[in-house]
Amino acid sequence: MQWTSLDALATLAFVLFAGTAARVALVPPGAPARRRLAHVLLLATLPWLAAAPALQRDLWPFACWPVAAGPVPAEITRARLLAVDAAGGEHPIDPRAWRPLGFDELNPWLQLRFPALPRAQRDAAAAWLLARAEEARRQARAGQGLPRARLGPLAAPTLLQHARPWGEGEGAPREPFTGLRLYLETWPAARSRAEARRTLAYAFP
Amino acid sequence: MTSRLRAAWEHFWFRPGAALDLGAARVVVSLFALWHLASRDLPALSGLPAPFWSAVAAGARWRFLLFEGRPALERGLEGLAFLALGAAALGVFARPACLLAGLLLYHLAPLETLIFSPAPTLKGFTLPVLALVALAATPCDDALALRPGPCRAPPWEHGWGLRLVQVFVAQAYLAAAWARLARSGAAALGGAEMESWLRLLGSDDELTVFRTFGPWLAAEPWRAQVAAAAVPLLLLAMGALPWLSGRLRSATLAAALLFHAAVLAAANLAFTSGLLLLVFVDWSGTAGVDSPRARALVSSLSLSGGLRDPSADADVDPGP
Repeated sequence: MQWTSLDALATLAFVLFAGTAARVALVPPGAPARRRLAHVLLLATLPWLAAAPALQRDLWPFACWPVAAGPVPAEITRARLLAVDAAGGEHPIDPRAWRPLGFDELNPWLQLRFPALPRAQRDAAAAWLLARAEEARRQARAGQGLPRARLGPLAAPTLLQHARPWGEGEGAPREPFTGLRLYLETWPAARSRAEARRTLAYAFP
Repeated sequence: MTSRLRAAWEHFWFRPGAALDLGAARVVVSLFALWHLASRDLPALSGLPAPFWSAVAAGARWRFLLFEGRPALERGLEGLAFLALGAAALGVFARPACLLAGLLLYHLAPLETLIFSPAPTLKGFTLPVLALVALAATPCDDALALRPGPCRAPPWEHGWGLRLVQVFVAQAYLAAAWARLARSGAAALGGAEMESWLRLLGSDDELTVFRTFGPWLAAEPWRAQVAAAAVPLLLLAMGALPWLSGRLRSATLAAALLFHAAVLAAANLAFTSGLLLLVFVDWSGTAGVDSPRARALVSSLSLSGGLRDPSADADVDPGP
């Protein structure tokens, strides 16, 4: 994995922006040079605010803000990770079990990055995920609740809202988790995910 | 033509502003960033097992100087970011604190998404990073500061600083509107695409919390069509906020509040950065803030500056 031209462009954008801001900050307010330097900072900033949307690429922190933008594909595919107990029963995993790892990062990672890893790395990642899920289940069943955001109910919400299949802990499965199964679910965009067809992509152990 | 453009540029950026409004923008952005930083455990993500980091590109790592297996170092930097944001919010060495906080958040924020994407655009730190770095270059400590800046800046300095922060926020909405058009063309304005998005965001059992309003909108083509037409119009209106004033700005801010509530209910999307629309509030002109009683109260709290009559600022020569 190398530097891309996008990485280089984004880095250049931020270095120019922050460097110019720092230069302006060094000149005391009211000094005659401030007006000229303010122009320089604007000229080092505004083009990047326009470039990211024009390129439709994030030059973070200069962003193109693609929120629910673009056509929805005719078929949707999403990963679904399920826990497995000793009897082979499958259980949904509450997204709070992964904290501090976010469900919105874990799920696309499982779908798009995980399959490309060597088997040993996939198994190492799965072992870690299984341990997290089982620890969260055990704590929830013991009445200790689920892993909380640091500010608890006052925490900033994530962009996407997630279902909470274990409720406040009372919905956590009784059976200990002994494995994981990763499915890819595909469904027509005009239908609901409940009608998805499932393909087993990976099982651990 | 060139001179008219230049005059318009000068008028937009360098017309006088109130120190209180710029100081309020600093407080709003700092508290917002503090809220997000305190909500997430970003340093812990540096300690994820190696397989999670294996697909992170070298470019992404070096861009943000982020490498796996250093949670203690990141915890220390996070602590420094807390201190810097606290100082920025309180107005203690506010300008260097803003710069330090902006740079630290630039480093820390990508931890949240780096295993999958190097751009944490929608996670809450994008606008604070830009705004904090820009605020460092402005006299944002002339008001609402426990330790004000050493010299009071002329009013045009308060104007351009505030407007740059406002433009950062407005750009998010303008870019969101443009992204829809750039990626879908005219279809972005059609009910069919809106219907598909509402169904997608409202039917996924793992992601859906609110299940009533979205499906209701998607159920009838005319409702989806109304939503498809309203979304870009509202995004454009919010993107135009830096150019709006008075009641039109107030009405647009009220519409923005309803818009974000509707997006949450219909599409299960919570855009917390919408809170940064507070930088468009005319704090200096708000009834009561400039009243003698409010001035006395703020003076007794040792806050300084910015509570002067804004019209006094406007009388000062805006400079060369």
